[in-house]
Amino acid sequence: MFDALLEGIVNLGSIHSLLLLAAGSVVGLLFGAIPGLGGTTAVALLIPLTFGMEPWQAIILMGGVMAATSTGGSVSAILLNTPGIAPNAATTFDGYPLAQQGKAGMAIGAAATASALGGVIGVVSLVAVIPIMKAIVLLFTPPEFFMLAIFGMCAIAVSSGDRLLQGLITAIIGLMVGFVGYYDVTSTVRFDFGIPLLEDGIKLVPALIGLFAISEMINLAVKGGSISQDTSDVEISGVSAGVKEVFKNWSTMLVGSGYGTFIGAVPGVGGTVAAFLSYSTQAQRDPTPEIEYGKGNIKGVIAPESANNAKDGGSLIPTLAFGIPGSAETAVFLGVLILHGIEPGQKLLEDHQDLVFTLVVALTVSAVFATLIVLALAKYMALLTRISVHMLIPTVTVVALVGAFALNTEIGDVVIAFIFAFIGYFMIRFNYPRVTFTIAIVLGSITELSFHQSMLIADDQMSIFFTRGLSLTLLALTILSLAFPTFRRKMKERKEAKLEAEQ
Amino acid sequence: MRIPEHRRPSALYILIILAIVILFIATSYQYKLTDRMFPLMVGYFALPLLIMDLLALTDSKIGDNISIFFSAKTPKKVDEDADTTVRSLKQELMIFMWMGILVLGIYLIGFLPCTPVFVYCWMKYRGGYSIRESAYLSIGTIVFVYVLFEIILQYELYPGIFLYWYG
Repeated sequence: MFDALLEGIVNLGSIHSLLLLAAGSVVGLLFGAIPGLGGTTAVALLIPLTFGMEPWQAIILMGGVMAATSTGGSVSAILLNTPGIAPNAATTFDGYPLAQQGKAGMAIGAAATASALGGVIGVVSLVAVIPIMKAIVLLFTPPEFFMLAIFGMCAIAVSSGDRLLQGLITAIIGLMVGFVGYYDVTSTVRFDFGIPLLEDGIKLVPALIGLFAISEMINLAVKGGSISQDTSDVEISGVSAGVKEVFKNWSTMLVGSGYGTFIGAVPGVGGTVAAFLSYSTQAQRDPTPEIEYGKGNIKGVIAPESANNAKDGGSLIPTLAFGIPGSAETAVFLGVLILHGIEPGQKLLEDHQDLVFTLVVALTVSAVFATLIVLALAKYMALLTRISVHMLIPTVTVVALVGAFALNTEIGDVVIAFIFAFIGYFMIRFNYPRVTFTIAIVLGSITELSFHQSMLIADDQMSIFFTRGLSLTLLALTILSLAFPTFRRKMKERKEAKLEAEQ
Repeated sequence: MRIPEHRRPSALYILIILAIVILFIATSYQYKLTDRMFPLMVGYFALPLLIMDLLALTDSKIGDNISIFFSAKTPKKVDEDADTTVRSLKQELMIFMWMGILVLGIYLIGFLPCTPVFVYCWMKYRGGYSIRESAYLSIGTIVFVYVLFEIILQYELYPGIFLYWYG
């Protein structure tokens, strides 16, 4: 294993390799930062460029892209409340309020540092679990996937603080949106109401663009002003303070990275769930925060950012071990491997360990490289918050709509983005959390598929969810997470009553 | 048990969601058991939650209890903590109209002509910028969109329904 690691370092040692990595990182940062593009598009678009390359060169280029996209996405999440890619959505909850308070530089510093450290931890975890990869993923069967999805949604609803009821409602509505369209288990088209646009279901990327990017532009247009509420007092320094915050809150970063690695390794669940779960866990671990979550708490930036970068290492675990991609991005990356004659599985792990470790080194160096670029340019990026809304609204709206169209080149996706923009706006207006809605859309199909698979395994007996150790543990965690706010309130009341009695 | 005037827009919002959920449940019954089983479970789970959300808006003991159970706040405290941004219906309708015209424009004449026109008009008529500033930003935006999407990424941007008709 040590020899393979050394070979990976040597592969990356030449100027040509470093240039490839730098190019991949810059493309990843740009695609991550522009809403609607994302790493999957970047990896897919770069595939033709790798035709003439050696496999390890292609791996370096793709590693650079994959490690940098979520770091790039955090910049637009913080400055514009528009997640560059879906996993950055959780960063908007506290990153954007920080930008509104004039602390954009600090938020970007913390996000970039947490991203780099999370990325490195994810990759180290990948190296650590290579020998035991198979056993880990095989622990998850359909009942466990189902329970994990339910736990994810409930935990996120709970994390919406005093809006638990609204969080649960939006989670359910999100699930319903996920049911629209073709259901491949029974080959049936459901809830399309005869509209051809809905036959293939609601596509996630245009929906997210509408829900986060355009709805925010509508909200800004209705409210007026600039992104930073106090334009005269926008803090564009403080990047180093953000870096320090990550080291000060090292446990938040470690827990987030742990979530990212673990969730990333579960096929199909991916970085979005990791980031949201990491965020909600952080909010629960910190019941009496100095600054409320959702109102500019720096830990609310560190937790999701460390998770969504750590997931890169985690999602490669099933991809490399079984050829089961952990995310859309790794699915396209799998195509690159196959294109270059590399078959994932035990053979890859035994015969081509040098390639595995080239990827490991590329991901590590790129995570740090992308962070250095963001840290160096953060001051200039923070200036974006001073722009008048009347310059931002038309440009962001148009670019977001083009992004919604570009992924599938379908005009229907523009209509979907437009409809979700209004749904998003009304959710802002009536204070319904968009986060649970989003996560439920993401998890909708996996949840139903896992449910049906579980029913098939158990001959329609629901008991399958309550008789398996891991599934039961996840169910217990779900119940505990739902009971947590009541428990916390009772404890608070008891404490207050005790204090009153003492006085 | 009545809903105070200032909470009525929220109540209307909940009623719209409730109507959608009922439509969803009714539609579910059109499908086979396997297809409708999970959607129905989800739909029926939504109903009591929405009713509780509606009850929490009322001036009543039950409303207070629901609100305290789910948010640890009385409805009065929820009102105090609510977003106080003044949003006029006229302003909202105006913005919806601008966005609607943009999407309709993209559908009819495509991205490339629509982008500079929309950016220019917004800057000039909503932002109050000068003709020159508005023109600069609109040209900058269309150049960015064209270079990134058409040239670098080689996407064929939607040309509009009219150009489709004329091949």
